[in-house]
Amino acid sequence: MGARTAADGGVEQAAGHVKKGPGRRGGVWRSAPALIGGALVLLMAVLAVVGPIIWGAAAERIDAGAILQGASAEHPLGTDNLGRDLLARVLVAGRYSLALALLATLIGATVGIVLGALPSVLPRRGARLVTGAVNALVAFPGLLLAMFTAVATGLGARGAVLGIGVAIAPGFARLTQTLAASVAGADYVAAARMLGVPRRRILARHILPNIAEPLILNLAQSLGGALLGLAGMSFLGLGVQPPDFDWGRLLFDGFTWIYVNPEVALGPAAAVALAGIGFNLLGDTLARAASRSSAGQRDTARTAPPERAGEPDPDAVLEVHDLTVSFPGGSTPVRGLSLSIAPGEIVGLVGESGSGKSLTAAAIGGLVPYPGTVTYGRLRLGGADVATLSGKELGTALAMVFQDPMASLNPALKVGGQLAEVAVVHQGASRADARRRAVDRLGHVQLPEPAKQAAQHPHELSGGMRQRAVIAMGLMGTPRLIVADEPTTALDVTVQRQILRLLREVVEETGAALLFISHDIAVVGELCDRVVVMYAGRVVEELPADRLADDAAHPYTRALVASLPDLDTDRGRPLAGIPGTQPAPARVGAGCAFAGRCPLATERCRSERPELVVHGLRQRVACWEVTS
Amino acid sequence: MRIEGLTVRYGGFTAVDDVTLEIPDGHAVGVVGESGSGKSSLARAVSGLVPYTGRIEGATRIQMVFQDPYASLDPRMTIGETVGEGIAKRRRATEVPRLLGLVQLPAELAGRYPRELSGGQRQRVAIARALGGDPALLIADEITGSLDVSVQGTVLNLVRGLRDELGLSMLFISHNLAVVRYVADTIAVMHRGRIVEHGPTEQVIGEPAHDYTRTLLAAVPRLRGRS
Ligand SMILES: Nc1ncnc2c1ncn2[C@@H]1O[C@H](COP(=O)(O)OP(=O)(O)OP(=O)(O)O)[C@@H](O)[C@H]1O
Ligand code: SF4
Ligand SMILES: [Mg+2]
Repeated sequence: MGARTAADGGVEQAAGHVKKGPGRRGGVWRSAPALIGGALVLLMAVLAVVGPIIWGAAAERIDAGAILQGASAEHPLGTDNLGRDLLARVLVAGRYSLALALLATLIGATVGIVLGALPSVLPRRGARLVTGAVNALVAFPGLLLAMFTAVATGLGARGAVLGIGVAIAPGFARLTQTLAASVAGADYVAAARMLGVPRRRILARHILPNIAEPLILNLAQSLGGALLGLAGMSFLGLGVQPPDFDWGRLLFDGFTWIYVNPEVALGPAAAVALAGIGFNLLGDTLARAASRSSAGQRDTARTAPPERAGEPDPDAVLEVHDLTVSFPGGSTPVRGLSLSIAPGEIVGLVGESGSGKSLTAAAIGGLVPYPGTVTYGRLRLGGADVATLSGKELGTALAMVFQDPMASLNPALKVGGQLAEVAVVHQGASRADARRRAVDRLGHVQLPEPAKQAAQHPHELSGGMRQRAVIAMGLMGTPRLIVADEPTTALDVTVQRQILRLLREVVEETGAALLFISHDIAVVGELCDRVVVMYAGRVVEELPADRLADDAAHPYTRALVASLPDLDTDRGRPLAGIPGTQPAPARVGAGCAFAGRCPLATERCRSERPELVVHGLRQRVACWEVTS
Repeated sequence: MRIEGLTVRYGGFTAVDDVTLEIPDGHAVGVVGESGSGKSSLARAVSGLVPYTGRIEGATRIQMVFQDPYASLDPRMTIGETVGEGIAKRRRATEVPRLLGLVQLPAELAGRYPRELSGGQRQRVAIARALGGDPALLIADEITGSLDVSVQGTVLNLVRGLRDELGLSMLFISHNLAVVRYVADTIAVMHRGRIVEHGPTEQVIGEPAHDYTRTLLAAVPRLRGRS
C-alpha cells in the first residue's frame, strides 16, 4: 500500500467551510517555540535547585582587590562594588527570583480565583458588587496597582510580591468569572440546584473542577509575567533590599555603573529576559496543546492501494469500495464499507449512534480527524479518485452540511460575506459577483428577504434559517454530491420538514446526488430513494426506502422499524426496543456484530461473519438466517 | 398540582404567555409544540430555574430530566456521585444501588464516568438522579430527543413503568406527538407561548380541535407503506 497524506492528496479544503487546523497534536510540542520554552524552563528549574549549592560561596566572597572590574577570564561578567563575582551572583539569584515569582503568582491566582468565583455563591447584590469591582480593577494599569500596593505595604521583597500578586489578580478573576459563568449555565448545575445542593458545594464540586484546566494554563503564562514584574519592581528599588538579591536587584545595582562597565547589567538582564520568554512560550504551548486536543484535527493519513478492485462504475457520482477508518489502539469504526450513488439519487445512511456514519461522511470529504487512518480500494467522486482532485475541485464538487449549522458558520462574520468567500476562493469570482451570487443562493433556499439576511450575523438567524444558509453555502459551487450529516436533528419537526423538502428540491433542480445521514429511520424512509443500514462500521442491509416498512430483512433493520413509535402503536403494550448495546469499535469480533442482540443468532453467527449479498430486487443483506 | 397564569419574559420577549395547566396527582401531562413555542421555558419556570409571574400551587419536590444526556452529567463526577448528589451522606451507600436498579442499570456502573456510557445509559443515570430527589412531580424535557430510536423505546418504557410503579406525576415534553402519545394521559399543545388545546391523549390525536395540532400531526414522520 502506498501511503499518501491528506495534504498532498489535495483534500485540504473539502467543503469551503472547514476550519483549517494544520499540524498534528504532537506537532505542538515539536515546534521551535515549544522546544525553546521547554528547554528554558527546565534550565531555570535546574538553576533554582543547584545554583546556590554550587555557586553560593563564590557569590558571597568579598574581594577588596577586585572591586568593580569589567569582564575578565576570572570574572566573565565582572564584579560588584565589593568585588563579588557577578556571574556567580546571577546564577545564585535564580532561586530567589523564581521563588518570589512563584509566590506572587500563587497569591495573584488565589485572590483572583476567589474574587472570580464569589459571584457564583453570593446573593445577587453582592455578586454584582464584586463583578463591578473586578471590572474596574481589570481596567486599571497593572504596574500602577503593583507599585501602589508595594509602597503601601512597605518596601522589600514582601511588598513587591504582594504588589505583583495584586496586579495579577484581576486578570485571573475575570477569567474565572467567564469560565464559571459558562459552567454555571450547564444542565448538570441546574440539576444539582433542583436537588437542593448548596451553592458552596456546587462551586466546589461542579464549577471549580470543570474550569481548572484553563486556569492552570493561565498560571504558567502568569509566572513569566510575574518574573518580569518583580524584576521591574526591584529595578525601581521597590523590591528586594540588600543584603538579599534577586535578578532585579542585581540589575538595579549594575545600572549605576552601566556607563563604566555595561556587562555588569547585561548578566541579570539576560537572565530575566530568558526566564520570562521561557515561561511565556511554555504557557502558549500548553494552551495550544489544550485547544488542539479539544478541537478537531484534519491532517489524516490516507492510503490507497494501487490495485483497484473490479471495474469502476462510470455512471456513479460517488463510488466507495472497501473503505476503512481506524484509529490507533485497535479501534476501527468503519470496516470495509462499500457504497455507490447515482446522479440525482437520494441515499439514506442510517444506524445507531457510533455505527460509523459520520466517519464515513468525513472520509468522503477528507475530514477524518487526526490520528485516524483512512484506507480504501476505491473512492471516486464524479469519476475521479478523490486523492487526485485539487482542494478547489473537491470544494466545488462536494457540499457538506452538518448537524450544527454553527459549526460551518463563523459567528463573527456576516452570512452573505461567508457565502461570497466560498465563490472567491473556489471559483475565483470577483467580490461583487460573489456577493450577488450569495444573495441569489440564499433566495434559492427560500430564505425570506435574502438581501437583508445576507447582512445579518449567524446568531441573528433562527436554527432553521442557519441550516438553510449552510445549504446555500454548499450551493455556491455546482456540487455533484451533497453529504448531509444529521442536518435536521437539531431542528424541530415542522422546520425539519421544510429543510427536508428543500433538500429534495435542490436535488431535483441541480441533479446533484444526496447522501443523507440520520439515526432517524422514519425521516430517512420518507426522504430517500434508497436506504443503507449500518451497524458497527459495516453495511448490513441496503434496500429501496419505500420497502423499508414491509420488506426489511435484516434482524437489526426490522428491530429498528419495530421500535419506531407512530400514532397507531398500541399504547397498552411496551414499545419495542433493542436490548443490549452495539459493540465498541475496538471490540467487534469475528462473527456477526449483531449476534449479541439478535433473537435469531446461532453458533455460526458468533464465529463467522455474513457477507453482504443480493437478496431479491435491489436489496442486499448480510445475515446468515436470511440469505441461507 | 396547578399552574395558573404563568408568564415568563426574557427582556421584552414573552416566552410563556399566561399558561394555566392542571396536573392531577399521578397523571402524566404531555406538552407538545415546535421549538421556540415555550415548552422548555415552561418546564424551567415550574422547576424554579427561571423567574416567572403567576402561581404554581401544590408544587412540592419537583425534579427535572434534561434533553441532552451529554450535557446534563458532570464529566468529572462518577455515576455514583451524580446519582447520590441529592441524598444524605449516610443513606447514599444503600440508595445509589437502589436508584440504579430502578432505572435498570447494573450497580457496578456507580464507579464509572459519563464518557464511558452510551446515550441511553446516561439518560437513565439522569433519571435516577432526579428520582433521588424523591419528586412528587417529574419534568421530562425532550428526554429522548437525542437518543436513537432503538434506545428511545427502552427509555420510554422505563418512564412509563416508573410512573405506574411510583405513582409519579409527570410533565412530559416533546416535539414528537408519537412519543408524547405513548406516555401521557392528557396532551397540551403549545404554540407561541400559549396553550391552544388541552385534552385527553386519544381525543387530541384522534379529533384535533386546533389547526396547529393538525400541522403537528401531519409532521410526525411515518414510514411509507406501513399498514
Ligand atoms: N476522533 C476519533 N478518535 C477515536 N474514535 C473515534 C473518533 N471519532 C469517532 N470515533 C469512534 O468511531 C465510532 C463511530 O463514530 P461516528 O461519529 O462515525 O458515529 P455515528 O454513526 O455518526 O454516530 P452518531 O449517530 O452518534 O452521530 C464511535 O464509536 C466513535 O467513538
Ligand atoms: S447473521 Fe446471525 S446474528 Fe447476525 S443478524 Fe443474522 S441471524 Fe442475527
Ligand atoms: Mg454522527
